[in-house]
Amino acid sequence: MRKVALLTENLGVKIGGKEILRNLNIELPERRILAVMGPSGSGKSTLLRAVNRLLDTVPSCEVSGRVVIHGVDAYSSDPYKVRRLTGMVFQVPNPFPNMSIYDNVAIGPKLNGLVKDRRELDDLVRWALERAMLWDEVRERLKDPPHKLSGGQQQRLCLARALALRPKLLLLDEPTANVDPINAAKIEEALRSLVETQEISIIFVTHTPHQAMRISDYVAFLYMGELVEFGLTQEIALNPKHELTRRFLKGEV
Amino acid sequence: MVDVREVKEKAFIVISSLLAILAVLPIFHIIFSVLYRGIPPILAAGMGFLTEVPPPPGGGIGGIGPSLVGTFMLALTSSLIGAPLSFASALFSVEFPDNPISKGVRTLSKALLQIPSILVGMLVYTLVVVPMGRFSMLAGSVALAIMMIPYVTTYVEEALESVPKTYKEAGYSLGFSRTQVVFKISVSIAKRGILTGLLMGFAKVTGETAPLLFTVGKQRQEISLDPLGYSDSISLLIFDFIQTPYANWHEVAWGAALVLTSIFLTIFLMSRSLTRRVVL
Amino acid sequence: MRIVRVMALIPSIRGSLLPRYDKGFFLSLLPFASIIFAIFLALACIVASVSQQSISKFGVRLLTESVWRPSEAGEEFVSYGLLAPLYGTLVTSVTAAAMALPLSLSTVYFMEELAPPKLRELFSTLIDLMAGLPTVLYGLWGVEVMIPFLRDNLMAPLHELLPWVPLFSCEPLSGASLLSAGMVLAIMIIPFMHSLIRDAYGSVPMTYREAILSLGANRYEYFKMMLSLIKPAIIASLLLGLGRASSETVAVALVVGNSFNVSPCIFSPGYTIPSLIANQFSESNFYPYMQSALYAGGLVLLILGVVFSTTGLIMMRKAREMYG
Repeated sequence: MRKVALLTENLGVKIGGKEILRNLNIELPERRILAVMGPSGSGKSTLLRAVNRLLDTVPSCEVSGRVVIHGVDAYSSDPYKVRRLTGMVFQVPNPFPNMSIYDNVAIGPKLNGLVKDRRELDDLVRWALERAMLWDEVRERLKDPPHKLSGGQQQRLCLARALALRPKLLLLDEPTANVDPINAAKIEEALRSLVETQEISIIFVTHTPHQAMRISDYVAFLYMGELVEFGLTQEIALNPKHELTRRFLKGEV
Repeated sequence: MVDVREVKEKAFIVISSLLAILAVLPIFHIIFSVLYRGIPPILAAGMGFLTEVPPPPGGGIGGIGPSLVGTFMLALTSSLIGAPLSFASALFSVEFPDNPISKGVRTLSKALLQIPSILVGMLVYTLVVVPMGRFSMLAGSVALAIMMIPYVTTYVEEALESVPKTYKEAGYSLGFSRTQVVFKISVSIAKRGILTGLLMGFAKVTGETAPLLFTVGKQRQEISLDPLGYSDSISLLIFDFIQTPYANWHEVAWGAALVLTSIFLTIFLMSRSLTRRVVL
Repeated sequence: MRIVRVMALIPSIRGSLLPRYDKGFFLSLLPFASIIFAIFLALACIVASVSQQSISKFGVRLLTESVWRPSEAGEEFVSYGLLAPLYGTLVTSVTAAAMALPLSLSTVYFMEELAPPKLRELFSTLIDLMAGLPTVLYGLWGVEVMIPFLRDNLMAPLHELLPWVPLFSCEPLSGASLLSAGMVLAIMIIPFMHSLIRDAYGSVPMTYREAILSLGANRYEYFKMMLSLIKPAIIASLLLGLGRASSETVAVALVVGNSFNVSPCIFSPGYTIPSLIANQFSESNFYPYMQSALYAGGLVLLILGVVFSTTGLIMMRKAREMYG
């Protein structure tokens, strides 16, 4: 029996009185990839931000229900602890422009006291960059500012930055939406190998059904803030229970 | 480890809140002090405080009539000089944005903001006071107009720029000329912003002291409306009186400070009701 | 020749929708707009020509000596050195900027991250009020209220406690001093520095804020990282704040003590260039070289201002470019 990486119970989100997510129940086993799909405005990004409590920063936002990450009840513990358990990669590559490539990766571990000395930090940075499939491209220029990298490399740098936190759960918000196909393929490969080799689980938001089918184990389909369908990717691909899912997979919604 | 971080965070929040409050504390204390020390002399002098001339050293309160009138006259005359100039420069730089001259106007009007006000006073002294052979209200208003131009120009520029292009295009499509479009459409849509700019300029010059030090002379013995004669301002009177050893002049200075603060607050609140943005 | 040049600057009407008589509009605005050029030209000419006399007489001694001896008796007795006012200008403005920075940063944090909307509104009104308040009122309050309080509650105890520290080595007399001027200036430039920093802070895109938080940063660490993202703007606010502080006149003239002193002790009275001019310019006609020396002071002030504001504006542009 695998442990549960993420559990949501009747998760609901209201922003300014408007219901963004309603009654979400998801259970993701450890070391699995969950793809969250749905048309824009269906609440995909909000779901990610509800998990790591980034929604705390949104004024007039109410979260109801429960989110449990590796046995930690997110909303009854310290938000910073929750965010340290989860790493996040965003839609547009956003490495910190004022830090070098190395420092972008090192900042998380430094902030959270994950390493004892410089050597350990070097090792962790290298490990994270390797896992993000970026090490070979940047090993010679770790001191460069990140804007010298291509957009796709920057996104992988962001992945490394998140991984250096040694998160249990990785959240990705359309990580390949602003990236060329070659870099997108590298990121997908990196994600796949992460769950196969590391103690890590992944949730990623995508708007392309093909990507979801390619790399996910589970699929959640959101529509207007509701979980229309949730289950194993293979099953849903073959036999979507819901008309909306079927149409989305065909690219009609 | 976690503890240290938490302690740091808590300390940071407490300290930054305290410092934020400390940063705005002086303005409360200044207004409080002005009320506390300004009300007694005004009560003692009654309405006469606004019309009488200042007392001799050591005797009574008198009033600040000449300085009060001087302040308004200076603000008015400097606006008469400064406002059209600012308005024209703003129109120029908004209507012909790519022209090298308007780029220069823009840069220089920003640079004018940085010029020390005391230098403006010196400049007007040499340019106006010396050739005329005497201090005058006119010299003071020229100095204040120079102070006012960059503020008003910036406000008016912003107001004119905020007019959506589509209205102007609509004007052109009706066969309006450039002048008609500017005055009938842009200016009337932006009039709120333009008015605010003028008000802010007015507020700015009512409180100025340094540009007046060597320009207006210090006419405190009678109310004078002569633009070529000596004049005075409340701020100048405060500056002079508080540096004297006479207790009654100190009281007059505080009373004058209350009058100046009231004038400033009135204009401030008026412009606040028109807009929320302030150019510093 | 010159006319042709000016004509070339008139916007071309070729390929534009604008009718020909725009030229009239352009030309009728031109004289008004040119006034601003005239002001600068006049300023440059007058400052240069009037200060020239004292610069050629005293040369570098203008900046290296602090003897200020107006004399009608004869040229050999005359001496004008701006060292003390220059020193005072720098010390008071650096003190002001150094004190205003943490206060400005705190108000930025307080308003952006802690205060509920109503309180934020109140704070921004207060800060605008501070920005616009007539400067003579700061001076009046400074000399009559703040100085007596500071002298009895801060300067005197510090002097008694730590007389061997050079900064506190002299006894505070009236309380009018470099420190008092620095503090009044700090209060006066807070709104200015605050709004520069707050603009930059507000312009950091949401995605960086989320990235910082997603790394598990607490509120302190978050703010620290946000500040490192807007470092150029913070430096710019310091430089522009220094520029503001160094050119302030009447408030400083009331609280600085107005005496020629180059002392490491911040409780000693001093002079700044603007306060020197404010105090001495009106009688400068009576003494040879005095007006010229004061204009040289004005020139120094202008140069300081140009240095502070151009470097500040360059940093500001850098800050703006960072996030488009």
